[in-house]
Amino acid sequence: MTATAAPAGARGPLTTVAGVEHKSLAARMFAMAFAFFLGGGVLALMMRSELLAPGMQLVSRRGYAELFTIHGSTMFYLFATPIALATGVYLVPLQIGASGLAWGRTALVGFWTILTGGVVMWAGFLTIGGAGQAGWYAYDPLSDSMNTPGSGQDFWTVGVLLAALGGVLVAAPLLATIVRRRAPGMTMLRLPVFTWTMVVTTLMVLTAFPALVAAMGLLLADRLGADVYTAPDGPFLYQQLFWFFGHPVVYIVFFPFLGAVAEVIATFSGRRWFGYTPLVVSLLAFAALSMSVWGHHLMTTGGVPTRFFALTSTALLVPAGVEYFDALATLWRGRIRLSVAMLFALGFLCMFLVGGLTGIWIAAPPLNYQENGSYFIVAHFHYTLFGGTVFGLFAAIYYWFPKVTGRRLGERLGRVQFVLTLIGVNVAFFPMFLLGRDGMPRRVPDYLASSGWQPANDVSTAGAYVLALSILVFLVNAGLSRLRGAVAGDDPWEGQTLEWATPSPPPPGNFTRPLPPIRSHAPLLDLREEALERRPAASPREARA
Amino acid sequence: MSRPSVALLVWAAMLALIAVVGWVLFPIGGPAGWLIVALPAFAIGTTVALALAATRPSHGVARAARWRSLPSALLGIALATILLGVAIGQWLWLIGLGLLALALAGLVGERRA
Repeated sequence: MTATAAPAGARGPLTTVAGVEHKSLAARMFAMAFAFFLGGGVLALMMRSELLAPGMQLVSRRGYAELFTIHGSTMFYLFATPIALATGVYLVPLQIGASGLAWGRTALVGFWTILTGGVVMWAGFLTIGGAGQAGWYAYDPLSDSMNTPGSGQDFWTVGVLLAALGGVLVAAPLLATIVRRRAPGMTMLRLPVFTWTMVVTTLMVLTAFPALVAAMGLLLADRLGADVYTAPDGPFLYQQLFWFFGHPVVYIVFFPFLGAVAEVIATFSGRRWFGYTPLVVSLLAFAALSMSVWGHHLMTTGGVPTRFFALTSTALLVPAGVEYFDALATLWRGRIRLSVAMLFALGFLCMFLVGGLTGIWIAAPPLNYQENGSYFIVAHFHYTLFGGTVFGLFAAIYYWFPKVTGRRLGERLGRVQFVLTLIGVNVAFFPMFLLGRDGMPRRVPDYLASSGWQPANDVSTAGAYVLALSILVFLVNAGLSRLRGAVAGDDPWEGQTLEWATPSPPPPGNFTRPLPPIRSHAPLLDLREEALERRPAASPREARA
Repeated sequence: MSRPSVALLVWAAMLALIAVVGWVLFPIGGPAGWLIVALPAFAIGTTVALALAATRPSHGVARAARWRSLPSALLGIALATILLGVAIGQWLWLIGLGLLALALAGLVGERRA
């Protein structure tokens, strides 16, 4: 594929709608996903405000069901998955030395499918019966037309189906790009860590998302009268199909940001990533196990081999441990620079650890039976999702914003955002562990004053508002930096991978200069180390060092 | 691992190993239990198919990168219109079919250009 210069008129409304170039497509997907993140966040604030005190103050019970359904659905289907894929769409061609994305038109179809799916899902709020209200996983028979009548739930089903299809249509070009468009010398074992995380992410999308497409297609047919899930094992059919997607998706939204954090840690430690090959193997193992644990969501049904899924769920500790060990070993004795990106990367390690360890806790069937359906689960997955995806996302943003825009994000406001995010996550979600332990079920719009749950709910709500403030700080920072931020240059961080070998922002075709030789996963670090070896020592002391 | 197909096959092998351990050592039964075999088998088969596709040689002729594709954008919108029409009514999915036809015609035109 030859890179061509952008033709006259490459910008403008038509390009915004139909532009295929990977950087602009990724930017559109990113903006779409972030807008949905803000919308889902508003719904979360409404839920937390309702739970401030016993009694229904803000919304009806049906309204609350719409809030938690659309909040969860938006966050998974419309924010986290698309933004993870968008990060790959932008960076993978740059990191592998390619001039663009393979099958760009397929990815464009995927973007429009996700966007229209999101619009359809949210349009449910405008229907008479309200938006979808059967939860983000919409178990049958709750989600059938008898128990959740009305077109809002139909809109939700269509929206999820479209988002799932769109995810497949974006993931396939990404994988094709990695397979077909690597620069000479870029073997699989010289791929940057972030690109390897996109390999496993796209593999999981392509093998798990079809199950969601099937589940939603059958649900739509069932709601329209086809009696798909009415057989005695119909609900189990639905749950098996859904969770075969539903567990891998939490890794799909995590792995790309794990890769971003790895890049940030290596760069801001001034060291090569420790244990590259074990990390690659552990990523493959982590992804394979993640495809094999879906039954732990069905443990309380009694309809799955509980011991097998407990075994595979607990085994996730092993590759996760390898990755944590590699991260710590990379940091050890490194020349640590505590940039905002590095702060978010370190926050990722700490916060995800809380979520991950509590996941091992609930992988044990007796504890799973106790905590399933309680706020303990809500706390667990918010620590993994916020601690993993969102902290990793902001590490990625602060790291790569200079490359994308040519300007640096403000570090001072960034530190304010980091502190607010760290406080907000813990104040919002830690009390939920205690609420779950004390028996508060999830998805309830109200609770008795005599339950004793109000103080923890109040603390949690305060934390949610602190998180909202942190996002506001970020938006201000991003806006000011985009307009007036310090000019970044090609490589403001002493990066190690190929995207730092091109101007900021990258030109059409990505690379205007010959690529450096590719001899490892960190070609620019190789060049710097070679230059250091060739430089004559300034003093005998330096020569000894 | 010097080829992507090897990486994909390694992953398929990991999936298969975990699945076989489950199928052999733990009882498969219960409602919709057949899916505990079928779903992993689908994942393994898909991965093997992707690995085989990765061994196919690339196109020898370099093609100029396309900057815009209105038919592709229209295709995404057409799919949404058709699916929403299935839920709302025939009038909408007929419109969606029309959009789909336009999109496909446009894509064929792009291919020939």
